[in-house]
Amino acid sequence: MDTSEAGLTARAAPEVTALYAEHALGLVRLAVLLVGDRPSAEDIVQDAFLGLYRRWERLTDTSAPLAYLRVSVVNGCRTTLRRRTRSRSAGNFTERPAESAEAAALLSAEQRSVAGALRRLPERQREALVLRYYLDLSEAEIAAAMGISRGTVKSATSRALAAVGRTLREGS
Amino acid sequence: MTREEDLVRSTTALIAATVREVPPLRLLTVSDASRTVARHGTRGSRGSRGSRGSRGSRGSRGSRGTPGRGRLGGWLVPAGAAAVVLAIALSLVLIRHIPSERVAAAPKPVTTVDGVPAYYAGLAMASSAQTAPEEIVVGQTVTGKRLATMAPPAGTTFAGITGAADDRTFVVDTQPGSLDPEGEPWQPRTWYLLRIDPGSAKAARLTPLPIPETAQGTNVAGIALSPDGTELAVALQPNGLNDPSGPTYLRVYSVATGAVLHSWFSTATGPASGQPRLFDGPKYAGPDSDLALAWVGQRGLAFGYSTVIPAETADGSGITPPKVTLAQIRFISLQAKDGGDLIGASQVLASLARGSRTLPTPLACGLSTLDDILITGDGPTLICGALGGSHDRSGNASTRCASKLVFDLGLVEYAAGASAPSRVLASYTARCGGSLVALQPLWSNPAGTTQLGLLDKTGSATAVQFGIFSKGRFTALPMPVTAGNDGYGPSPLNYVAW
Repeated sequence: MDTSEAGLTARAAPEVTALYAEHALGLVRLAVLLVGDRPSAEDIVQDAFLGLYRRWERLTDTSAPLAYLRVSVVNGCRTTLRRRTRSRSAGNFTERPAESAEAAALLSAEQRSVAGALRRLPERQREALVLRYYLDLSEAEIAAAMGISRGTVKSATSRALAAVGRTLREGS
Repeated sequence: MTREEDLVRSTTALIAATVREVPPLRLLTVSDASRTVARHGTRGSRGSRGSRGSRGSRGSRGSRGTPGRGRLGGWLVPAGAAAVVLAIALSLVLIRHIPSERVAAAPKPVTTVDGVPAYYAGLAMASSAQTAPEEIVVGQTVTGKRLATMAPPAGTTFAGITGAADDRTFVVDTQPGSLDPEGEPWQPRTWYLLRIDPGSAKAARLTPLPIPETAQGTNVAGIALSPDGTELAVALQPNGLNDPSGPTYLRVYSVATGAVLHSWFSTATGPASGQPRLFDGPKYAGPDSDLALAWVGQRGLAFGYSTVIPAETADGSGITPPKVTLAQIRFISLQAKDGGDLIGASQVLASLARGSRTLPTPLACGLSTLDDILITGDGPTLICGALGGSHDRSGNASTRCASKLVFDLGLVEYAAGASAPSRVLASYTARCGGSLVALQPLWSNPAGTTQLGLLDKTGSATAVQFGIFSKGRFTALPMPVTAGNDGYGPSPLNYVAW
């Protein structure tokens, strides 16, 4: 068996490429929801697959690559968000819409409000909501993806939903 | 499932559905590219974004959004990818070594295009570190090329920039430290005159101004330098941090002496739902923005004024769309009684509140125009990015803007006092799909015949283009290097002045 780096690479490439074909679109969509822009999302997903590729032979459970990739993407999104100076002031002036008001005018008012509320949520709460309601993951899966306890998932989700509700009622 | 859960589910699905394809995997470049990148400590695309200094909320799509310059080589074929990574990494090294206040290279003479300013000056972060200060970047409008970089005074960061009409004179403000969102908010602002002279040994020169420093906790909502560069308008709320419903002022300072030449106030505004808002709309141009205020020649200023009232069912549990009762661009003359009420002393320049949306919906400007005011002529007239209705390719109108549908957008002009466009300058059809920027005019010549701005007809954030609107046509230009990188931001060019 060829255990050289080149050999390992040769074996991993088709596997990872196949995984990419199957899951990349969904993961980019997840990352878009978490970081808000597509170029960053695509970079994050590329990085995740690159990481998987490099670690392929060291992964103990290659039967669960999607879970690994999901964790990588969530972590990559956190890193990207922390690099950004998201806002420069306090109060309501920290709020920034994800889409232009013109573009938003073409969506329903409620969806605009929800998009705005999601954007303003703390990172962890936004992750919890997206993983729960976009990916339909279980609490255990969300906990694994976010690297937190199930109890924290529950409280983050609950607070996030309450915040969304408040935003909707205020009509902002 | 609660209504909130339902809405979160449908909204996330809708946003996610705007991504319909992904670029190919770049695995085959790993062995070459990763080694190259490792030596430089970053991937090409990441480093590029960072060093371009995106201010998160201002966003730097950087070269990604630039026509003809793909992302990391535009997902090039593997054989070329490593070379592209190396080239980008090397170019980063070069960019990062441009000394402050030095000229990168003597610019070639620029062909003037319909009076488009030859140069721009914008703010960009000095590095990708969250606490990095913002520096001034001077560039060439038509080529996008960076000509000079100027660091802020020690221990400060630049916070805003506004330009006169001569394309050489700007006013910038600074605050202590950085714009790190975890730092102390709304720090005092100090004012400087910036003069640029591209191609000379001193491409950018900074001179302190005698305009009074703002106090800690003051919200500087907007700044605008008069066309002749002699007066600076500042919209501010002196105790905005602690009292967001407190008085808001519009002051005009003499650039030469720092004296307050004109001042008006308003006490009727505040951040609470239903309270009127001044100087910013739903998009929020950002603090120290030069988009929230606009000079009307030398004779007055235009600003936004709006009220959005939330609507609820009787028991407070239901959710209905908020009601926009007011969406105005107002004009105040410098001849208006000094020290008086801003709203009472001003008049409506354009009313943007939409009525019921009947189909087909003609092009009209929306609330976001309040955050992005572009005035031409002394008439004056307002130019804005407008939206029309959505429809299918056959022209059948639709109340929704779903995938496979398109919508109309364009540049329109409002005459003084108008509630509907008086002229359509350009019109386009764009795909529905969650674009961040549909059409944002950023600069216009006085005649209103040529504009600089952003356009996205594809519904993809990666395809937002910077360019010239003229005679109904859009000519793409390279994106200014100060372009931001944050998808949450509605525009990548909010802190660039021409």
